[in-house]
This record gives sequence, structure tokens and C-alpha cells, in this order.
Amino acid sequence: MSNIYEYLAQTLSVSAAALFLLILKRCFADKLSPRWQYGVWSLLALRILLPIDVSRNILLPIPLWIESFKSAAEAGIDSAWSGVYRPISLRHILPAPDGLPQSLSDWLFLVYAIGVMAMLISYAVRYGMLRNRLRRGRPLSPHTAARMETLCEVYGLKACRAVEVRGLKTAFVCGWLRPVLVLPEDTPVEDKILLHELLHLHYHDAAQNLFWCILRALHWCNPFLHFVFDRIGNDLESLCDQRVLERLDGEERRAYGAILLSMASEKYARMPATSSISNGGRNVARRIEAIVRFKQFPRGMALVSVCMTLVLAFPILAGTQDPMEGRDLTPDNPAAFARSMAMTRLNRCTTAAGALDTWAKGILWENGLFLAAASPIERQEALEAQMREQNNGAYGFLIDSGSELSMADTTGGYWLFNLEEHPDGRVSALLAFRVIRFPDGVSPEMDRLNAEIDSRPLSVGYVLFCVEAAPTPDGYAVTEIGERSLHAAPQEELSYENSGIPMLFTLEETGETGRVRVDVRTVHWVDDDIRRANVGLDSNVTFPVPMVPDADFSGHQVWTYAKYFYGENPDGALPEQSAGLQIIRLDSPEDSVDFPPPVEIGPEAWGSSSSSSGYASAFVRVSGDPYGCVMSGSGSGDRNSGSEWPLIPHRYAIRVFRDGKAAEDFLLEYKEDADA
Amino acid sequence: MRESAVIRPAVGRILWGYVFIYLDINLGRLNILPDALGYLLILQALASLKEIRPSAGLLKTPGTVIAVWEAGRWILSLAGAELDGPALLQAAGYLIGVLSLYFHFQLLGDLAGIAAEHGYEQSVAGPLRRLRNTRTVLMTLLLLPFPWQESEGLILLILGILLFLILWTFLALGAMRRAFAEEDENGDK
Repeated sequence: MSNIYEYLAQTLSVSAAALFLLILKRCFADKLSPRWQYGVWSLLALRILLPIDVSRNILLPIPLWIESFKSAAEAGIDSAWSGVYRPISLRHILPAPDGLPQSLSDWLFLVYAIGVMAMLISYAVRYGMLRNRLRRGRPLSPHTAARMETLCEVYGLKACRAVEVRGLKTAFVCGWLRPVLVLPEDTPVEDKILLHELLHLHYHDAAQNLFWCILRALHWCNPFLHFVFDRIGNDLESLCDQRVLERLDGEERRAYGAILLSMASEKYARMPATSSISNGGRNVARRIEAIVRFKQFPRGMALVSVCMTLVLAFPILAGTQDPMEGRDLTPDNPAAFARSMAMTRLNRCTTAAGALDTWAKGILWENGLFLAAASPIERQEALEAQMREQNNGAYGFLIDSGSELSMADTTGGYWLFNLEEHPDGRVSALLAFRVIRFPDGVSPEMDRLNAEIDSRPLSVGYVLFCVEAAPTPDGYAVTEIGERSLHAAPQEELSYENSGIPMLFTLEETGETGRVRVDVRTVHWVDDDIRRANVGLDSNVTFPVPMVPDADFSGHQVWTYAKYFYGENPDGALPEQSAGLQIIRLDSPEDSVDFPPPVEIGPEAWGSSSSSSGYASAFVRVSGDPYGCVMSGSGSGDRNSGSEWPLIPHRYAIRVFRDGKAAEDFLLEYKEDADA
Repeated sequence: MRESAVIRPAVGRILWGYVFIYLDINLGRLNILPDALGYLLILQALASLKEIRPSAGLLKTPGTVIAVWEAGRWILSLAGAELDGPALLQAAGYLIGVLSLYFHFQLLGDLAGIAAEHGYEQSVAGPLRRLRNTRTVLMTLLLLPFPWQESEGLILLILGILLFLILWTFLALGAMRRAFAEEDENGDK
């Protein structure tokens, strides 16, 4: 925890959870046993120990509110430990200021941190003083010691060191590792009070008290949580009462109630690592009401108590609503815009696919908030300034796409070509957008491409962005890593080998009968698209408007283009009539090359095919040119992510044919550095 | 008045209450078996059972809260809306879920207790307690935010178990009603 805003987010989230539990306990005050009433606080304990980063929204979007508040509060001031564009991020619950304070918010956090230390030191000092005082206590009188021994024997409890101390009004247990049962020297102590304290000892209530005291110190400046911790202490006492009553019967229970009644006027000072039968007048009155209501709760109630606690655990520990409230991020007023910016800081993309998808949508729809969510945190300030400057009533409006995309075909969606995952977690790809045409008169290149678009029917332009999604402490962020390139082609030819879209890699080998070459291009798609007809650039894609920061890649295609340059053999001889190839993809080192039997194809054969036995073939008639090539007609098949087929095969086996006869076999092996 | 004369019609109302709660017949957006009515029937039955079993009176408040919630859902469903969205409503939804777990557990437990006190431990009380426990565990699992819907097999399994649970509830309550009807008739004779 490094600044006051993180503390506020944590303490308010804990408060929300506590309030929810208080309401729930109120509903079940007379229905569920004191065991459940106290036990359910374990959820609050877990909630306190879990930083809010684990589960953002505990019933309410508190982190978002605090982040928005921080943005407003920090605007124009220079804090050392927080900033407008530094999102709150709580990785642990202990205050850990780093460096010297500069601003008011820094000083407030320092005061909080000092307060935690002061409270813990105060506990230690008070406990030390109490132990010191107990050292001067007398051992129990023989009569009292005998009574205690009898009680332990009857109820199967273990005793501990016990002392009588002058000036005390009530009995209590002090300490956990070396507990001491403390009795007032001047006042005789009833057996039931002894039993109560022995039960505190038996169930290690002093240790639990110490635990709650430490948690109280962490939230010392939250008055509501002080009230909650007091209630927890009272519930612990009520649970002890329940345990006492379960061991008494009839008249003895009434007598126990009378004993408590006699303590109703006493004041109570909470002491860490202690437990006491008297916890203040008002609380004693509440406990007496519970005793009047006492019943032996049926054994079966344990099942529903556990089930109810399990159901409660999820909203309290894991959070509730989807953190991306209003995920379409289209604010229409300044306050909503500030809130949306806060949202983009808090809800970063958690996957590379989510980051690429969000960024692409930001470009396509000119939405700066999407870009802010998927760009490095360092860009937030600049993006916000641009959005404010370009605001034309739509507060998230941002033209970041450049003039190349001024006529982007938003129905065309986007495509991710040649996705590569690097060992350090970065994911690079070519992001392609389709444009109806380029703006005229902006550059000679765009004019030339427009002329191409105009001259060939059904042609479109497309823009390739070279991007990278890199893991950062705040999630995945996308940056452009190269130059944008512009192209034009008929829509139906965009998936062809010569469409202009670069290949992912190329493998080549020259043999005795010529040269073979394999080019591979991949295209990925993300799981948030609603409809995608096919994966080529001639399809239309519809995306849902909201951001999907945790999207996954749901599938990919691999396009393989194999060529045989049959005129590039050493002696330069061309086949007389036909040339061809068969290509097999070998996905693992253990896969064996299994070409079909080398029957003669025949010199007249030509065409291409894909065989179900795992190879593709293509043949051409030799036209008399000094060289030529044969391309595989296979392309790819759709494969879903999670398929056992690897994206890139281990090897390609190619058999070339000249005039219908198998001429030579090649084995091309993919290596990581085989670039296109 | 003999207790059986009070218990039999009360159990009948509770049985009908479960019909409304478990079954939905939709005419367009209109569910003609609103859950809220089911809870009201049960609350009516509990009012008469309270004399015989005081702990039944503890269910009045949670039952009323659930009935109001279900009434709200039913009214919103007529407009094609849902009681969902804002965080507070989600929190309220969890509260209702927990109340509901307790409500049905206590209700079936009380009915089992009444049956046991009248000597129907084997034939009625035991099965009711087993039903109570099974229902509680199953409903807890369904309330937990696991992605049940992602597996078709799991959806079918859960549907099957729910159907079995519904049938079991009707059979168990029907058996209790018959038992007290016989007791009532024997008492008349």
C-alpha cells in the first residue's frame, strides 16, 4: 500500500463487506447460532487480508470511485507517492511509503502509516504493563485452585497458570502462548465465571482477540470499522456464553444470566491478547437477551450455516459485478469522461488478445478511451490531452488512426496477421484494416493506390500496422513498432499469395532438380467477434461494442504457399510437359514422411488437390519459359485454438515431379529465425 | 382443535406454494405461476403452523422479504426487464439467495420436526430431512458463480437433478399431507 488513495480503497471496500455482513447478521440474529454469528466474521478477516487488486469490486465499485476522486484531487499537485495517471494498485495491505512526502496526500498517508505503528506499539506497551502487573499477582488460594481443578475435570478442559490480583473487578485470560488466568483478589469468583474463562482459554480466544486488534490497527482511522471490531469482540463473548450454557442446565443457566446482569454497569477497556467475561454494560444487556433466547440449535443447522457462508464468500472475497461498468466507454459529459478515464486505468487488458482487440477497436472507431485502456500507462496523459483537444461533444473521440484510415470500412473489422509469441511474453502481429479508398491528394502513394482501386472492380485498400502487445505490471499494452504500409487489391484476392501482406516466414532449399520454397502466413481471430463469415479480408466482421480486456484468441488459419522453381536446377534443363509438387506438413519431430506411393502421375496431369491423407499437391503444364513455379492450392483449414495441431509445423516434406515422375524429395525444417 | 386438522391444510398450502415456486408457465412474458404467490401461500401456512411449532414463526420475515423480491422480479419481467445490474441490486440478490437457502432449509426442517413428533419419523420426517439437505447442497452449488453453462453435459445433469428434486419435494410433501389426512380421519372416527 503506497498512498492514501490505496488505503481509502481498501478500507472502504472492507467497510462495504462489513456493512453487508452486519445487515445479514441482523436478519439472522435470532435464527442462527452464535457460532455462525461469530464464524461469519472470518469472511471479513479474509477480506481485510486480501488486497483489493485480488477482487476489485466488493459489492460497490469503490476502487473506481477512489480512482476518479484521486484524478481530481491530484490534478495540479505533485505527489511523490501518487499521481493522476498512476492507477491505484494494491498488492499488499501493509503501508509502505517509498521516499519523502511532497504533497498533502503524501503527508496524510504518512500520518496513517505512523498511526498504524503507534497503535501496534501502544498495544505492545499496554500488554507489557499488564503482564508486569500480573507478575505481582498471588497464586490462587487452595480453595479456588481446587474449584478450578474440579471444573477442568468435569468439563474436560485444561487449566493454565492462574493468579489473583488486587484491584481488579473481573476475571480474564491474558496472553496466548503463555496464558494466565487472572482473578480479582478482593472479589470471590463464581464457578460459572471460571468456566467462562476456561472456555476462552480452551478455544484460544485471546489469540483471536490479538488477531482482531492487529486488523483494527490497520484500519485505525476508520470509525465504522472500530464499531465493527467491537461487535466482533461482543460476538466472541456471546459465543463463549453459548458454550457455557451448553454445559449448564436449567437453574444454572438462569444463575449465569444473573451473574452477567451484575456486571451490566461495569466499564470495559479492551486490551489486546486478552478475553474477559465483562465487555461493557450495553453489550452485557445484549448477551442477556441472547441467553433468554438460548436454545440448543439442532445439529442439522451446521449444514445450512456452512452453505450460507460459502455463498457469501464469493461476493465478499471475489467481488461482484463486472468491473467494466459501461464498457462501451462513450461518455457524453466531463464527469463521465473522467470516470471513464479512471476505468481505463483500473481495468487494464489482462491478455494479449484483449489488448490487441481493444486497441484495434480504438483505432477503428476513433475511440481514445479504448486506446487508453490498451496503451501503456505512460501514454494516458497524452491521450487524455488529445481527447480534450479534439472533443466535439463526444468526449472519447480521438483520431489517432492517421489520415490513411479516414475512410476505414468499419464493417470490415480488423485482422491479425503473422502473430508471433516471443519468449519474454511479447506478442507481435500485423494489424490490418480495410479502407474503402484513401483520401485524395494527401500523398502520391495514396493517389496511386486510389487509381488501382478505381481501375479494378471490387478493389479495396488496406493499411497494415506493425504492433506489439507487451506484458507490463499494469497488464498488456500495445504499441506500434514499425511503419504502416498501404496496399490495394481486389477483395477476393486479399488472401492470395501475392496480396502484398507479408509472410510470417519463408523456407527455401535448392536441390538437383530445382529450388523449392515455402511461404507461410497466419491469421488469428479473437473470441469476441459476433460474426465472422470467413477469415479472409473479403469478409465482414461484427464486433460487440464493449471492451473485452480478457479476450482470448479463439482460432487461427495458416496459409501455406509452396513453390517449385523447376528451371533453377544446375543444368538448367526444363521438364518437357509438366512439373508438380506434393507437400506434407510434419507437426512433430516424430512424424515420419509418408508420401503416397510414387506412381507415375503422367505427363499430362495438372491441377491441384488436397488429400485427406495429409498432403497437398499441385501440377502445372510447362509453358516453355526458362523457369516456372508451382504453388500449392491448399491454403489452410480453420483450426481452433486448443487444437492439438501446432500453429507452425516442425518440418515440411516436399516431393517434386518432372513430366509426371517423382524427381526429388526435400525436407525443410522450421527454425525460429526463419523470417520472411 | 386437533393438530392434524391444522397441519394437513397447512402442508397442502406449502405443497401448492412449491408448485408456484418450482414451476413456471409462461404466456409470452407473463408467468402465470409467479414465485411470489408461492411464498405467500407458504407464509399463510406458517402462520397456522406457528402454534404447533414456534420456530416456524422465525420464517415470517425472511419469507416476506423473498416474496417481495420475487414480486418485484415478476413485475419487471412483464416489462421485459430484470432485477440485475447495479451493484446494490447484485448485493441484494446475494442476500436473497442466502435468505432463501435458510428459509427452505428451516421450513423443511420444521415440517420434518412436526412429522417426527407425530410418529412419522421413518415415512415422512427422514425423507424430508434428506430432501432438505440435498436441496440445500444443490442450491448452494448453483448459487456459486461457477461457469456451469459452459458444459452441455453439466447443464443436462443439473437439469436432471433439479427435476428429480422437484418431484421428490412434491412426493415428500404429498406423503406428509396423506399421513396427516389419515390421522385426521382416524381422529374423526
